[in-house]
Amino acid sequence: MRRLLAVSIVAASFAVALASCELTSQRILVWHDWPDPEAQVLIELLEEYSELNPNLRLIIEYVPSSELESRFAAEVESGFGPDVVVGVDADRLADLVAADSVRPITVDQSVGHGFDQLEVRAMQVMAIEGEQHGVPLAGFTDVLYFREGIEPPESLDSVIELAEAGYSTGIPVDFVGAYWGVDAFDGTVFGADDALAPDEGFVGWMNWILEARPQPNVILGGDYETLRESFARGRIDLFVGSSRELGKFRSELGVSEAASGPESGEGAATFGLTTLPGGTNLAPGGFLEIEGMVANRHTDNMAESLALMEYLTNVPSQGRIARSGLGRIPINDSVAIDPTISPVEAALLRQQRRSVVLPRVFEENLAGLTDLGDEIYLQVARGLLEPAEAGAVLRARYDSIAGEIDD
Amino acid sequence: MTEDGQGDQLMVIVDRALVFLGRTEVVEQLVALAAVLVVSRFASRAFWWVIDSRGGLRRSRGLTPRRAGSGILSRLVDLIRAASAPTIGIVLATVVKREMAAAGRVTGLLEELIGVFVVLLVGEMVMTILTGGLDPEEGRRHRRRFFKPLIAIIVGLMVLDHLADVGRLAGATAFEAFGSPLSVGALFVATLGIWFWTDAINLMNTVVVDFVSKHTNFNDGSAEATLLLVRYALILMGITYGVGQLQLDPSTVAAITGGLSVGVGFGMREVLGNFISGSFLLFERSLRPGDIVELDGQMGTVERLTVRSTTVRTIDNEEIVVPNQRFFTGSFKTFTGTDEKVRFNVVVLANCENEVERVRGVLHEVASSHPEILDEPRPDAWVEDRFGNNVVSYRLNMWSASPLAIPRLRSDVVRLIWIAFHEADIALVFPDMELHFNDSAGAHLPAAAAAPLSAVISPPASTGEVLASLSPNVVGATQKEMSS
Repeated sequence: MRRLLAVSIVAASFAVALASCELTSQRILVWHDWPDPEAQVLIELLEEYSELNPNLRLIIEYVPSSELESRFAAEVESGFGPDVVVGVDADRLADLVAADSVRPITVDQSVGHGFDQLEVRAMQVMAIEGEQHGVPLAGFTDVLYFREGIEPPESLDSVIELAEAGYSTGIPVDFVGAYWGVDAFDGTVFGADDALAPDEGFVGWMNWILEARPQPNVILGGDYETLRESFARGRIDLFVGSSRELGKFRSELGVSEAASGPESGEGAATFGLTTLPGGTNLAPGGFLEIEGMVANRHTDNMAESLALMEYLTNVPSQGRIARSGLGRIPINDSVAIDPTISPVEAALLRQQRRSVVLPRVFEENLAGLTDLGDEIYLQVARGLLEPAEAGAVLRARYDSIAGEIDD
Repeated sequence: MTEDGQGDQLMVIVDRALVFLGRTEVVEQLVALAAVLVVSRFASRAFWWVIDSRGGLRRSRGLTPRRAGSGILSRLVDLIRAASAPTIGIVLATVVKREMAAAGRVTGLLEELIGVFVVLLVGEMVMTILTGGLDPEEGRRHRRRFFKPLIAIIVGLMVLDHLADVGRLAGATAFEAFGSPLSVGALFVATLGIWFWTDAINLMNTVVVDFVSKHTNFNDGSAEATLLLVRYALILMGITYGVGQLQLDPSTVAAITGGLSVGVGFGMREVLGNFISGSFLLFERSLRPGDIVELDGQMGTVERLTVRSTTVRTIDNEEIVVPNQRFFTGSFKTFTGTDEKVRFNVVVLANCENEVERVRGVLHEVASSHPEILDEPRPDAWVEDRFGNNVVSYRLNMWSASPLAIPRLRSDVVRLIWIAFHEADIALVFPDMELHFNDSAGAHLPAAAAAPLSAVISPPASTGEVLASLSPNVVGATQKEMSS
């Protein structure tokens, strides 16, 4: 009797809730990993989209970044999970595809811009073996942060000059974080077949590291977090770091409105950011990290999900995301930012267009390569390895690892 | 559109349910899951119905009585019976899952169902082992109050985990109390959490007491008192933790409870008095479960000792609930305070023509021959008095290890004395009766009373009848009473 009563109460509650729902509405469950206050701009965009589509009901849920992909994969395994996930890191896409969690994107189904306006490299990052499995939403790349009152250096030589003048610069020297330095000497570490093949540019970069090493105000560190913390606490004046740090620096250091130098007056910045300093190439780029969107393999709202992705990647939405000041760089090629109005965002966009996409082969097959690269960098920075030898050692180690994998 | 609003969590759950119910993969799995549940339940019942109807394996406790002398076998049968439904469920779910996977269907929910069956299987086994030695009703009570709701909550949370963000739901504010927002999770811990904790502690307490009393020589009264203290300490810890989860504003709570305390103090004075008395009784250990006490002339065993009252079971199997204050503030007789040995006696009236030492020797022999009468202190027969009418009174003092055995021992001794005196040719004193009838009154007597004397007052037909007519501790006392 009591059991019957309990079941009746639950059923009645569910029926009441069901009755108050609009059963005719289409429902899309969206997960995202943007924490507060970053999420504000995303929530606003989704709410606006919902208003534009009154028959669509969006259920938006935040999932911490560290759990996003794993929870999504686990839910999909049982047929559950959100229709759309916003915030998937491109380097984790392969795992989701391997777990058969995501549905390939068929561009023909699109009802809007068809993703034609999106940067080709970013789209390629969200594709695996030629099949599009996700849509890019925003990018991150390395930039140069500088403290108020400092004229940011345009070249690596200027970095050393600033150091001699007493301004300290923190440069993380790990394989991924310091790749921009190779590009600064017109080099690459990837051969034609995406194999690791450090060239003369790599040697030039290693030589610069060796040249800068005796200079106490050029801090070549392997620990990214320590350097980041040093800049946030005012211990160093310049810092090469990810554009992801912009939002944090703004809350920690103050509002930034300058790209080429901090402004004065009300709302003045205590720091600014600019493009990375160059060597023989004055417009170097770092690696491009892509944050994307994927659709659940089981969704029965694929068309609606695609439409939502298109909305978030259209020019107005991308402009809003770019101007949110969180370091997210638009991946829609049609987005134009006026440097006089939004100098920071314009600098970010400039830097992103110079950035390099890490070949997927390195992400998928040679995760240990970054450790190897980090070790080589540190050995050069400490003077334990000659720059001319570094490329050869890296190549030899890579060949050894690749050989083991092939076997 | 639904976002982080805390008031419409139920709507979010319904919305999510509608999203998922629109997916073929989910509906397919739910149908398969329901089929597995129904079939496994009925298959288990049908299996045992067939076995039982053929007079097969019987339950040790519960629905059918335990077979005499088959303890381990019965426990095994209980375990098999408890494990049968989940095991059938596991097998069935595995088969269905394999078939669905082979057909390329999604099987995650069936995987979870197998997990639930495994939890159920382990839980059933543990509960059967734990409650196997208990009173069947006690075992059923713990299943009903603890195990089944626990399983229901685990399954409920697993289902809810798919329909809602359980973490966020737990953090949502249910309502405000004392100026502090109370989250759903904190309320859950402070209510159901404390409920399960208390019941789990009670279950473990019952099991340990049962084990200690059956399998060890440890004084179970002391063990039970110790366990009672541990139990209350653990329950108090649980309540403190549960209430602490509510994170009520301490200053507000202190102000409100301070104001209430005066009124509550007056209203609940007796309750608090009993509570404090119970706590002292437990800590002083002046009264323990298993103690034999005398209350209002009734002897009984202390069954339960709680912080409010003490339950005493009398020899007549009556339960007397006594407020603890009575034990704490008044005096009571305990037979088991420091020593359970109790002295008792039987008074025998014998003819003075019997040799006194011979009578004493027979009485000693009787007392010594009974296995339950202690040898140390030794039984002793005292000559109490010497009356006229050829009567000598003897008091046989004996010691028993259990106060509750005294009435039975006394009966045994009286019976043995009767036989021993008869065999030793020792004459007991029989009643001499002198009846006077008034002729005028005799006319109004009923027919039976007017019958010849020999027919109305018959000598006892047997020894048993004589003993039955005697006061339990005075052999031959009738003469004294009747002649007086």
